[in-house]
Order: sequence, then C-alpha cells, then structure tokens
Amino acid sequence: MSMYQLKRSPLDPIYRAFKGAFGEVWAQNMGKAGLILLVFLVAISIYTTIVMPSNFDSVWNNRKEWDTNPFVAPPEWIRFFGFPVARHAIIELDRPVESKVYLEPFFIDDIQLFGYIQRFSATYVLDSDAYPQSILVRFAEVGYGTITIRGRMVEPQIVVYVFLNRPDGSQILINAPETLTLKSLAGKDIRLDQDTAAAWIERKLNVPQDVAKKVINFYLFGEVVGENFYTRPLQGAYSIDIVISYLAPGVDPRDLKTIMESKGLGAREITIIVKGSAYGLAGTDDAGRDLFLGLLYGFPVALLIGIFAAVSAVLIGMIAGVISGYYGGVVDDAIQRTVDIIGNIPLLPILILIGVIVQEWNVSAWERLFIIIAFLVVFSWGGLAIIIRSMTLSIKAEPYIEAARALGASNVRIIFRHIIPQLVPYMMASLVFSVPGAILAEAGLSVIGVRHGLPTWGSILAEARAYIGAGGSYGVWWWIFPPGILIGITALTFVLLGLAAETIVEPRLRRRM
Amino acid sequence: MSARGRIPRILAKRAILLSVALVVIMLLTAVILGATGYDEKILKAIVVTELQAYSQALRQQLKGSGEDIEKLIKEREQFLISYYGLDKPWWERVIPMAFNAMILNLGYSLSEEVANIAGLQPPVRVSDAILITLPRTIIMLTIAQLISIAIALPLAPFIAYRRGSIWDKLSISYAAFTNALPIWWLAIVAIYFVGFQLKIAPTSYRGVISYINRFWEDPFTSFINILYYAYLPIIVVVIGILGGWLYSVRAIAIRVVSEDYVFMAKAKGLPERQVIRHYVLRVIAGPAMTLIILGLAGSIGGFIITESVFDWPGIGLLYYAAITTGDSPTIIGLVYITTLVYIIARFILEVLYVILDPRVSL
Repeated sequence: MSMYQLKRSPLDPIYRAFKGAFGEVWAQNMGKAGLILLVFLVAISIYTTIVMPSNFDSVWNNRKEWDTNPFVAPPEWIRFFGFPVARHAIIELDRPVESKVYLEPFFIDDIQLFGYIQRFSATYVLDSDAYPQSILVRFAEVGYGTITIRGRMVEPQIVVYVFLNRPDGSQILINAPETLTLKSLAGKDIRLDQDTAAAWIERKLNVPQDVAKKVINFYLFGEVVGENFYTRPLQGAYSIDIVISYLAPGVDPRDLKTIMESKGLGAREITIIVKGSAYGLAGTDDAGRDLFLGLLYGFPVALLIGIFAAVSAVLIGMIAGVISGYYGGVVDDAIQRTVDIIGNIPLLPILILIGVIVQEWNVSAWERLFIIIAFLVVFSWGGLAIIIRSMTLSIKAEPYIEAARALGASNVRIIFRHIIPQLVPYMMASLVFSVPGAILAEAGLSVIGVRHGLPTWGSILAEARAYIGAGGSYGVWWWIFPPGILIGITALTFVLLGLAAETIVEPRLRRRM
Repeated sequence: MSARGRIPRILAKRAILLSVALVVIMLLTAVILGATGYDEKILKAIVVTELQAYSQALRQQLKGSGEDIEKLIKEREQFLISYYGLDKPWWERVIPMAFNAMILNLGYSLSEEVANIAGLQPPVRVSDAILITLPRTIIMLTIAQLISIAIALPLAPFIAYRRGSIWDKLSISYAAFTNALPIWWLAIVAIYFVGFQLKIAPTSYRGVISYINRFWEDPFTSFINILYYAYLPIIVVVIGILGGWLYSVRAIAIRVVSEDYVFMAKAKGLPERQVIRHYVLRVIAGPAMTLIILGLAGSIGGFIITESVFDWPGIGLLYYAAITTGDSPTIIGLVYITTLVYIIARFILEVLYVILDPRVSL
C-alpha cells in the first residue's frame, strides 16, 4: 500500500517529465557539452566550498592579509613562455646564525652597535632577468614576557636592521630602524623603506636618491648600465641579514642574554619574503590578493546567483502564469497588468539604482547580494508568466481536463497532475536560459561599480577597471581576462543546455499554441 | 459593431493600459528614490552647500552684525528646506516628482559628472543633458543595431532555409557564444588589444564630446575624428548583438520555411533566391518589424555598462553618472524618457498589428 502510494505521489509525473528532458538533452551534442561543463562547474564549486574558509569574503577584503604577496604581479607560468620571472621566495628562519654579546661597540657602515646582538641570515638567488618587487621581514614568532634582573623589571629596547648584501658586494640598509619592545616585535612586519634604502643606494651605488626612490626595486636588485641610470637586473646570490640589537639601560648585556635565552625570549622565528615579479597560478591584484583564490571563490557564488535567481523567477512565473490562465477573471487581469508594467520597466538602471542604495546599507555582503538578486527576480518573471498562461489556457481546453473535472478532481489536483507536468520541459528550458542572465547581470552591476563586498568574477573585473581608471596600465591581462572568460564559460554552459532543451520544447510549443 | 469600428476602441484601450504602465513605472521609480532615503540624502547635501555659499556671500556683503546674518541664514535654510520639500515626509514628494517628470518639467542637475558628460557647466538642465547625449548614443548603438539588422535580415532566411547545415550550426554556435559573453567584456578585450596593444583606437572615448558638440565648425575633420572614436565601439556592439539577431530572425524564418506553400514553391522548381524573396521574406517582415522597432527603441536607452567601459558619453554613461552621483532629477528624467520611447514603440507596434491583421481590418 505504502509503496503504491509512494509511486503514485503527485510529484511522480513531474519527476518523470524531468527525467525525460534530461535524457533528451544528453542525446544532443550541445546538451552533452553543456552537461559536461556543468559537472565541471559544480565539481569546482563543491571543492571550493569545502576547501575555502567560511569567512573568505572578509579575508579577501582585509588588505593586511595579502601584503606579503607581490602587487599587480602576473602569474608565474609566464616563464614557460620565455618571460623572465624573479622567483617569489618565502624563507623561514628558526635560529640565528649568531647570538652574541659585544662589550665593545662596533660598526656596520655608520651604524653603531653594542650589547646583545642576534643575527639572522638568508640567501636569495636571483637567476633570471627580472627584478623582485620588494622584501618583507615578518617576526612570526617572538617570545615575550617579563624580565626581572635582581628584583628589577627590565624592558629591553630592540632595534632591527635589515641589510641587503648584493652580489657586487655592496650593502644596503632597507628598513627604517625604530625602537621596539618585545611585545611590539611579535608579529611585526618590517617593510622596505624607500627613503632609507634610497639614501644608502645614493652612497653605495652613486644613484641620486630621487631617481632611486621612483623604482626602488630596480636599484636594489639591479646594476646601473649606460646613461640616465638605466638598470638591468643583477643576477647572483643576495644575502638578507637581519641584525637585532637588544639593550636594557643599566643592565649588563651578558645578564640580559642569559635571562632571555633561559626564558626563550626574543625573536624565535623570522619569515623573510622576497616578493617575486610573478605570483601563483593567476597572478595578484593591486592589493597583492591571489587572484586564483578569488576566481575559485567566484564559481560557487556565480552558480548560486544564477540558479537562485533562475529558480525563483521561473517558480514565480509558473505560479503566476498557471493561476492567470487557469482561474482567469480579475486575478488574470491583475497579473497581466503587472506583467505589462514590469515588462516596460528599464530594468538595468533600476537595478543599478538599487545596488547603489544597498551598498550603503549596513548589512552583510551576502544579504546585500541577495537583495540585488531579489530585485532582479521581481522584474524578470513576466515573459515566462505570459507563455505559461497561454500554455495553461490551451491545456485547460483539452477534453481530458474536462473528463478529470467531471470525475470530481479538484482544481489543485488538475493543476498538479495534468497541467504542471506538461509545463515542466518548457520550464526547464527557460530555467536554464535565465541562469546566465542573472550571472551576467551581477557581473555587469559589479563591473560598473556596485559593490556588494563578495569576491565575484564581476567584482574582480571591477577592481581591475578601477585600477586602470586610476592610472594603472591597461596591460594587466591576467586580471582582466580570466574573470570574463569564466563568466563566459559559465553562461555558455547554460546557454548550451538551454539550446538543447529548446529543441525538445519547440515541437510541443508549436502543437499547443 | 463592424470590425473596422472596433479598431479605435482596441487601440484606445491599449494606449490607456500602456499609459497606466508608464505612470506606475514613474511612481515606482520615485518611490525607490524616496523610500530608501537616497533622494533625501542628496537634497540635504544640496541644502548644505547652498547655505554655505549663501552665508559666504552674506558675510562679504554685510560685514559685522552677526545676529542679522544668523537670522538671514536661518530664513534661507527654512526656504530651501521647504523648496526641496524636505519638511515633508518622502511620500509627499513622490507624486510631484513623478508628475513633474511626466509633464517634461525635468528640472536641473547639480552633478558635476553629469555636466561633464554633457560637456557643459553645472547646473545643467536635465532635458539639455539628455538631448546632448542622445545623438552620441545613436551614433554608437543605433547605428550598430542598424548594421546588425542589415546583416541579419537578408542572411538569416538563407540560414533557416538550410536548416541543419554547417552554416546553421555555425550561426547557432556564434549566437550561443555572444549570448554568453557580455558585450562589455568584449569591449574590455577590444580596448586591450586594439587600443592598448595595437594603438589604432583610443582607450578612452570621452574625447569624442568636443567633435560632436562642435561638429558644424569643421564638419569634415569632426566626422573623421568621430569615426576614429566610434568605429571600435560600433564593431564591438555589432559583434555582440549580431548573434542574437541571426538567431531570432532565423527562428522566425524556420517556421515559415517549413510551411506547405514554401514546399510547393520549391517543388515547382523555383530558384532558391526567388523562393526566399517572395515566399519567406515577405512573411517574416511582420514579426521581424517587431524585433526591429523594439531593438531600435531599446538602443535609445543606451547600454549603460558598455558605454561606461568605453567611457562613451552617451545616454548610458549619463544614466551611470546620475545614479552614482545621486542625481535624482537626471535619473527620473532618464527613466521617463527611455520608458516613454519604449512604450511609444510598443504602441506603434500595436497600431501596426491591428492595421495589418486581416481579421481586424475586414
């Protein structure tokens, strides 16, 4: 009994119509291509959803998270096409090469040092004809705590110097030294300071400061050739020396060293990042964000936008169309007039307006996105409702509907058992056809600057355009092309599926209308 | 009542329904501007700037007597607040806003960007801004539409005639690709390759303003320069929309091609060209006219995104500038004009249907 009921559930004919449509789509080349692409899109989306942290959208918008990457860097694989690429290197140092107390002051160039000194050192080999972008030193792990020497609390003053020793033997200080405490050293990023480095370059390499400052990395990692201070990359082994001086006034540096070592205080792990001239699989944007991750995140978001918008619009269109066609009268009139209005509305300006309004609201990025999509849905079910209405009208006039009614079938039963199953193939087709519309609409809105805050392909493109608009070079192909290509592929998937589905729907449509 | 006598009634009914739709759309737009506080924020900003200018002028004219100045500024503030309707809740501003637009009292735009696109100094009359940018959109989009129509209309019936052939498949694939690739992205790619790499087209197109605005000073040079600015946008838009045209005209033609009388003509041994010209083109002229009129009417409204990618100073860019700078008068004016053009086009189609439909005009 229960089995029987399960089989004859009211959704059963709908399911069968669905399955039939699938088979017919698969039978065509276009449908097959579309389905394969769809599987690929869905697989990447699932992978991304599993792998990406759930707060990726806020990570993406937090510029601090990304500044260890090179900025506006092309993808690394360009070197397979013969373009020189300076390697991006992350060097982790977990012990100093020297940890020593100097009781007599000594000098590195004109810097006087004295007391408890630690040195960390790393080597970076530049083996191609390109300039690394910059150097960043991160104090990844610092032991900090209170130091008591003979009953007195001691707070050591710490100064960090980062030297770049070039293959030609010249030594350049690249950071602006400042006095730090153990606590402020923890997690500290020491950056390249253009003024300091340029001053050293002037002294050591005879390049005027203001010239060096413009493209500091050309002079750090290059040698001057010819006139006008033109440079070419200086290949060879660079060593990056980090000198840390710990001083506590009135305390014997030997005591300081002993106490700090016994308690495990001071710099423990240092990460040196030599920012290369290229990065990762998809390059970076002007905030150093790894575009590969952004593009990957775009997959589930695009599918979600497209499918959510399409399903909602088709459901609304179906319900409105069936009600309008089946019940007629005042309801029909009201629905028809509403369709008249939404069919004449200039949709894009209204959507942009809503986007501009919503981006000021203090809601989450997802909520903002869905408000925009909801408005898109509200204005896009009209065409479908008209077609569904006329199909419903013709189905309603069939003799078997009259027979069902004569047998006492309720309106709901007739709609669900006899009308909707016949509409399913058509709805499938229009569902599939309206997916790209929503994806393209979101991308278009993002491109002209409606910000919802999520990393989507459209918003990545928008940032590329903003970068170009603010005076950046148009040459950032890795930033412009992939998002557009992915938008195109995703839309094409559904266009192909739609075209395949349409050929199924077309004969039916012609017979009924 | 005779069938002919019914025509005016049918048309009058359609006209009323379309007008009602227009009114509702205008009210809806005004509600969106009002209910979200978008409009109010901008108006308040305008009052603040006007007051600042006023108080500066006052202080220069009458030195000293601080109390008088304070009093005058207060009065001015009250005046401005009631002038812009800020003393009333937003819903009381909605109807005047929509009504003023509908009697073409579009007012002034204070937005510098809007003025910039028009090539004028603010404040700009909204109607001026629209009238100045409209020809630019026509140069780019309407011409692109016409070119696409001129290609698709003769070509699509031949493709439909050879249904299933390689040409048919190619045109469907082309339509599928351009349906999936947004025109504005094609625009970005075209600017990258043609403008940035090959340097045979501009990368920013706003410069076209001076050549169009001062066309008659030196028509020949202006024409050449406009051509230099316009050729890439036109080509890109044609590439982007031609697929859709081919596909839809083909869809109309296929229905005709499989009709019995076309078979009959073929069976008689008439040459293909003649069959298409006499039996297919004539029949598809009606439905194709619908597409053409709606397409041309739609092109007047501008392609907001594509125009903003090219920085092409047409209606689309004006829309964009108005929305992003919070310029309600221009927004509501543009919504009204573009919707009006579209609705008039729809009505012209209704008239054509009724006149051409043999069942009505017995």
